[in-house]
Amino acid sequence: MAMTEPHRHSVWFDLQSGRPARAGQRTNALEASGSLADLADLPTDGAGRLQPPVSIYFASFSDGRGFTLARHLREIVGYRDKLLACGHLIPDQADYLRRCGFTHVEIDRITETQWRRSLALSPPPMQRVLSTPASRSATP
Amino acid sequence: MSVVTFTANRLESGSVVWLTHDLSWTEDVRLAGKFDDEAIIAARDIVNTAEQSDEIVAAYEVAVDTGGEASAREMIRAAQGPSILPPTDSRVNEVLPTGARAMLTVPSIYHYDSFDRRFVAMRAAQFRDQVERRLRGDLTEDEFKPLRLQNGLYLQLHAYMLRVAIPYGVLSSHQMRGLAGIARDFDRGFGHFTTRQNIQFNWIKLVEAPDILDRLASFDMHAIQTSGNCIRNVTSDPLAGAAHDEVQDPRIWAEIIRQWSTLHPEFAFLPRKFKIAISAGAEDRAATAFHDIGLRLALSRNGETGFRVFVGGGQGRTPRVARKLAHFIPARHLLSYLESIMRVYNAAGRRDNIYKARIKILVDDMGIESFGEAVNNEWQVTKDTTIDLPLSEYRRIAGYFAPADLPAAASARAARDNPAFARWYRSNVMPHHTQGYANVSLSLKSAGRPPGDAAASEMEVMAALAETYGRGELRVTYTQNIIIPHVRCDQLTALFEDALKAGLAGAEEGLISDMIACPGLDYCNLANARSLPLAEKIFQRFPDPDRRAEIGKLRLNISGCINACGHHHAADIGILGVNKKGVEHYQISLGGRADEAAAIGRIIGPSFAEDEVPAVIEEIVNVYLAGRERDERFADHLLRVGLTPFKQAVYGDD
Repeated sequence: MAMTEPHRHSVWFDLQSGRPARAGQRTNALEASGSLADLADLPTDGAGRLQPPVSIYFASFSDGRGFTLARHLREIVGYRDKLLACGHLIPDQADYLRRCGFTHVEIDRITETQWRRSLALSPPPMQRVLSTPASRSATP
Repeated sequence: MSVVTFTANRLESGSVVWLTHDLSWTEDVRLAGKFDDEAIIAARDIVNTAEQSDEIVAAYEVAVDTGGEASAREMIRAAQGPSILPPTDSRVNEVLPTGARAMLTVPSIYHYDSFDRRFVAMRAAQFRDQVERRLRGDLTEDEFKPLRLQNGLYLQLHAYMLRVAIPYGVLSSHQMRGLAGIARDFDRGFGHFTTRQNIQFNWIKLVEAPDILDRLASFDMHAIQTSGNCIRNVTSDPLAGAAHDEVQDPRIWAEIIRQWSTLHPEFAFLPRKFKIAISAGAEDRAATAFHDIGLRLALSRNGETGFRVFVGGGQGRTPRVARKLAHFIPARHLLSYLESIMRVYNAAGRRDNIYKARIKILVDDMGIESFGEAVNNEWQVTKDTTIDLPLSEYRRIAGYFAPADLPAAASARAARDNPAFARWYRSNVMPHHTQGYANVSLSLKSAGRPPGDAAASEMEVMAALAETYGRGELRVTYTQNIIIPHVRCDQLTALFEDALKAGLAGAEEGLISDMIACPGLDYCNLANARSLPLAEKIFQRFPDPDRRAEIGKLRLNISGCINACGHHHAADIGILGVNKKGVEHYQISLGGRADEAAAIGRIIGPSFAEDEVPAVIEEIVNVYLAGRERDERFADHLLRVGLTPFKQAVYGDD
């Protein structure tokens, strides 16, 4: 199903800049509840690369499969373009989404301030500090 | 015609309330309104509105026209307190050891640096924001629940409960005093040490929880991931780094796993909770076989450190002994291997049924071979990426756990002329890796004390004892006691006498009186039956310390429901509370064990009323004592004679 920009009250929130942004059309859609095998059904270009942007739909914020799916796309499939999260997500997941490789999340416009605030409140990434100790003293 | 009352908890304080006839909320059960027919419809509207406006949470109806007694649950709720009282906080501490000296040494435990401090401070600030949004109504209870659980905050029978993480059971005397302060300032002067080596506070207000997290952060502690569907506090051998039989100190890897699993972005919303345990002793004192992942530290033939990896162990309604997943995973690849297991579980674990969502069910469904293959497929790709920590970081963390600098000490023969001391020495003094030293268990099991409970003043005594006689370091055991490691043998007598004054010198370690018990229906929202009064009655059934010593090592565990927090599956004698037509009953199983020969106990037959249980336990003990050969342990005896003699003694021949 080809959808254009998010519906009226929604906006794409850029997880890097913490600002609303255009993220493109939500054409290559995956269900967070789907399996990794569903990736094979997504349209690719001539070189077998997934057509961006890929979006992952969360039916419930407490279903964490979408996080593994995202990391799989980034680390195993090697997908490098825009990765969109949509569906039921809460601001407290902003940092987790970003660190699992999502670039944008679809949010209700009135929650934009809280999403930005939640990003700022997130503790630094313990995992990265463990694997790259130089970042231990580098994180502000 | 049905008649009901309505009850709930206030959102801000967690206190239990009932709906009155004039449709307001009261803390006084005597004012609870009874509603029938049309009145019920109107009252439901009021309840729904109160829930939507975030005045109350967890509302439900209780039928009161059944003719019988109110259920045990509702009676305990109405009493607004447990049926066995916690130990009393004697605010002026008169039993602190007289020889207490200032700490001259820094205990060999992990110490936060500025990064770790900033991390827990930010986490506390983040939770403060979440609580404020919940109180404003910006977060629904459904959205808030996983967030509060991942900070250890439950809504229980009487109030909120906060579970504080004690990483792999290790804490300093300074931190123990900090916990005592929280018990006194935010709770009712006591805490409950748990089988996951944590501590729980039972009377917490939601509005005060952010202040408690700030306080915890001030002495380098937190409540991160002590609940919720995430990787829980990693547990380990309470004697780690002090044991006589270990390959290496497992705390180094426990700390590495703690850091790796803390706010892991991919694994915060797993199908279900996830528990990891790690041990390195010849004897498995961390019950690794009953964990989602159990790690046993081992050395390869060329001396490389690694782990035997077991997966899919657990208790609950589908008890499983963990199955071996890998014979040897090099330690330098441990994190990528764990991450691969987590990824397979997160992607494929069931989410349609809470009772089938643990990894043990996935391993059952896939079979251990296929599961292992799926893990390896992931691991082949990820093990050479940056998930694993570099050697420099390993060395930084390992540095904190450098063996304590223990001056040579004579292994003085303990004075045996005092029978109480001799008994205590036999049960509560455990071997140490260095001659002249020992590890000492302070028992939190005594007459009248709910197992694992300690008053704030007792926590302060334990902190002082650890400074006076140890290295300012304490351990919480999964059997709900406190260990002081690194005690000089020539100071054992003095330690015993100081502990005796504080009521902490029970000679119970490993004996029938050393019961594990969950809080049960006295505190817990999930329980079917009480654990604490039964533990007390069993304790009273064996009042003679010489008789307890004669029975010898025997593990008796009590769970108040099938979730098995009291580890009843893993006990020589396991007791499970069930609800039989609204009345508390107890099912008994025999032959479980949590060590390297782990097994699940077998149910002996129909359940018993609470009053019957102590006599039944005594029957079982008598069969064992009458039939055991020399030093035969209960588990070995049961293997030899089977269940039949026990069943006959308990149920008769028919």
